[in-house]
Amino acid sequence: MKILIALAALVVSTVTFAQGTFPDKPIRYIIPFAPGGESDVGARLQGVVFKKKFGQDFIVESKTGAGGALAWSQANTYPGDGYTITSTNLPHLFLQPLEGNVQYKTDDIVNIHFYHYTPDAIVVRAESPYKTYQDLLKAAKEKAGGLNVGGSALNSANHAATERWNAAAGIKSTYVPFKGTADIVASLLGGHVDMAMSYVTLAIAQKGKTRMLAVATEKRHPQFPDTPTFKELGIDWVDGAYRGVSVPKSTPEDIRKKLSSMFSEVNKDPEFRQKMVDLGFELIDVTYDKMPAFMAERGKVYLEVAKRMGLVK
Amino acid sequence: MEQLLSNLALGFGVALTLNNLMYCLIGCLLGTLVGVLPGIGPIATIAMLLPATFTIGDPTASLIMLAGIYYGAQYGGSTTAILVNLPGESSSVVTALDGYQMARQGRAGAALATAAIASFFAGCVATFLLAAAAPPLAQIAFKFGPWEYFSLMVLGLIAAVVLAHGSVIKAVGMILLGLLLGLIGTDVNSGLARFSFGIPELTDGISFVSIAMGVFGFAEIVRNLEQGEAREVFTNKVTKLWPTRQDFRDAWPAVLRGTSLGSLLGILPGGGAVLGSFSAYTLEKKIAKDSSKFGKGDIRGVAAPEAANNAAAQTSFIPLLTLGIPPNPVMALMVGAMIIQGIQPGPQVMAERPQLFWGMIASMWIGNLMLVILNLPLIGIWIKLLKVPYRFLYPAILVFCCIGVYSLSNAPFDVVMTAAFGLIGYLFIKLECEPAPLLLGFVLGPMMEEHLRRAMLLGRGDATQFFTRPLSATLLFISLVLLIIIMLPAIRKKREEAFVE
Amino acid sequence: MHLKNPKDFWAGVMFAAIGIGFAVVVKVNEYPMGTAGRMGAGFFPFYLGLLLAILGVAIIIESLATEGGPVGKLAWKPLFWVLGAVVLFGLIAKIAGLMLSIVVLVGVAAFGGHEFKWKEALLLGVGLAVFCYFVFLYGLKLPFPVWPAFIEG
Repeated sequence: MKILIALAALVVSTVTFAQGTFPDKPIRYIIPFAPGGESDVGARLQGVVFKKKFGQDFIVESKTGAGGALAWSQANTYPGDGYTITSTNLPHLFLQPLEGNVQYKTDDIVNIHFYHYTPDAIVVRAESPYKTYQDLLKAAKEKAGGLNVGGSALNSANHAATERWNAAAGIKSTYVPFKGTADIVASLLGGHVDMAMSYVTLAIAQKGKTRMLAVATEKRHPQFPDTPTFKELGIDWVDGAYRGVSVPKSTPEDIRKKLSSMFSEVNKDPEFRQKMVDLGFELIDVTYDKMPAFMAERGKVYLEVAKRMGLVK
Repeated sequence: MEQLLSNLALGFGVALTLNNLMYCLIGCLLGTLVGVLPGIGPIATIAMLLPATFTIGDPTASLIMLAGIYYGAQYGGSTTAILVNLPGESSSVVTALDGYQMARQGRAGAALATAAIASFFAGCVATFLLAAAAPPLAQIAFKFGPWEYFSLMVLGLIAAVVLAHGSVIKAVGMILLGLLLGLIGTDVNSGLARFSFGIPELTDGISFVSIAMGVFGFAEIVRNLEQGEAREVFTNKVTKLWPTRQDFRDAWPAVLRGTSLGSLLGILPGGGAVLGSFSAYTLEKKIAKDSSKFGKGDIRGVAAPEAANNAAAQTSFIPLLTLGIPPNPVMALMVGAMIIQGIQPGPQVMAERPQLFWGMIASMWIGNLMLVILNLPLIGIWIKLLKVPYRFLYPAILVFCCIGVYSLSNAPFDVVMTAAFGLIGYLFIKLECEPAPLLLGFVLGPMMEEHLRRAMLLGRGDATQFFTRPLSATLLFISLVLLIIIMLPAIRKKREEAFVE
Repeated sequence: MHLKNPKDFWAGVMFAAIGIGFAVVVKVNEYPMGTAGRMGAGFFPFYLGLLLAILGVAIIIESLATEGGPVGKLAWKPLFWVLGAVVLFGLIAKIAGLMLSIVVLVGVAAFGGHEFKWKEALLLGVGLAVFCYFVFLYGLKLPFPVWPAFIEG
């Protein structure tokens, strides 16, 4: 019986490969974060373009937990046929394994493409007494116990950014983890945390209800011409959360490359570009062949951050 | 007021176009279907249909359809809860308590009709609230920091004791057990997999559907079979389809109270809507002159939670539409749908897209109307279903449950887990431990821990804010009063016993 | 020993055992307890477990002083067949496909009933399979294998 099944499975799989028209069925796209957050939204927008260009749907599946670690520790358990892909984030993939509580290692995850990043940003609510970055900094130094900084998940981009800010500005603030960016909003707007260390996307989504005080981009963000960059403020900081996609280790090289070039194609779509930029995403294309160099470079940066966070001695 | 009327006129203008009416109907039908089918909920359905909404093109039409699925599923879910004791969602757990008992007494028709009418009424009120006062109501959500959420959940858990009609102390035990079961899985704060014993599926936590179906549905089937076919599970003389005049008189005030509680709690993102139906039931049982019938087929035990449930379903759109905060996973998917359509959900929707905003609100009312029209005639069919001999009915229930549970993750694990909870649920029946408090504890456990930890972190380890923040203190005070009210009868009984001795 | 209130007694034992179980798992696996300001992953479950254990003991003690009904016999037959059928369904669904699995589920579960008529069970199973085909596969388009794996290819 078992042999029969295995045989049947073999026949099925060779047939699909022989056809060679990857993809010929919908692709399961696992998002390690809650629906409505940046990763989810980005994936759904990509899905629309992907369908247009390659004829197949993305079935976006959210597997929330442990700041993404839950989905990543399962990323290699799926069949390596290219039909199950998992979205990935930096610096999470570096910081979580260094922290040691998660069940995957950085090298376990086969990243095939990084397609955008969202710049770090300091956001306060509109009613906040802190009108400028200087106001905030002053309060951060004076307030007993430090400011409460809301961010998405532990050992995440937001967490790293908070520690980086603490070190660069010489202050001590307390990082308060939330389940996801959407989750921070109620607490930020309700004034239960003093500020959010989040991304430009949050400031755009909550325009009018929030104020962005500083942003980690090269130049000022076109939608926020009055908000200074960290560089202007004297902190050398251009960074954010990188988002990309991974496949299980068992996936053959040609499918890895093919998927990577498909994501590049998606990024080229003019309508898509406009939408993403409007939402606050900065599009990039780190393709599969550039991946080793990119990861090595990021690894060095994050090791520094991790030392500052006390994750590594 | 005039502004409101013109807004509503605009909304109905949009919602009453043939195209939008059709999508509303599709949504309601589909929602009812997935609601009735155990285990298949609105989340899976909406997630599946998200890509399809893009082909619809018009954002208003697609959101109307998705919203229809959402509240259609609420209606459908209570049908299964009443007929076969299978709550597919946390909100219908309470409906199952008295609804199923009514069905066993041959009053399924009355229960279903009451549920539908109560839901419709609550839906109307809550939709009007949404239209008239969404922005000010949204402010309520801001008042709730981690302290308030934690205190609210304490109140909810104490109220859960009342769900059981037997021993108080055992009900407390079931709540604690539920809280602990809810903690199984990956810790949100640190990423540590707790109580998973190396089983990868357990790092996701136990699914609510597994527990609910196991301890309610499967355990009930075994219990029924145990009693033998000789004692038919449902009385054959299903007399009246409709609630009697007395039923109406009993249910009416309960519906009003349920609607108010549900509308209010629905606004709170995360946990609010769940607490709605539970607390409505508790309230009814506590203020009733004669509460002995609760849990044995009291119509108020169906009317109040159903009203609260549906009211909360409507008002949970408030944080979504005014703040862009999705209060539950279904709403989060609606956010996704909006963004796919190029709409940034949040405060600006109402100003920049009045057609969409008011059209959607108007369609909610129309959808509720459609659902009540759709559901009332269906009652006749549902009741016929109960006349099917049990030896045919129970395998059918098993089939639907198994498919539903299997579809959760397309793996055997969830099905095996559900069977295990069937066994546990059967033991609960034998030990007279009632499962409803356990389920509420299970839902609230992780949230309670999250808010407690966040509150303590914000307070730098200082717990006094729970008592110094007015809203949190009030909630804790109400909890204390409720606790005393609950404990009093038990204490009094003790004293009497002591006196006799 | 004669138990005056066996239902409560065993319920108390169950609560106490589970409560202690959770607390022990926290300690054995060394889940961090943290501090009041920064609670660790072990804090909440440990104290909840302890609380449940104390409550369980209280219920046991109370049960010794009150009168109550017996636990009653366990209905092993329906328990075994019904839950067994469910487990079997879960295990074979992927290999056997939905149609066959439904027939098996109905057939096995029918053993748990009062009287078993295999013709009836088979008919019911086939009927439900057809119905489910239209509702779940055709209507809701659930990603289920329909037929056994060796035919499906």
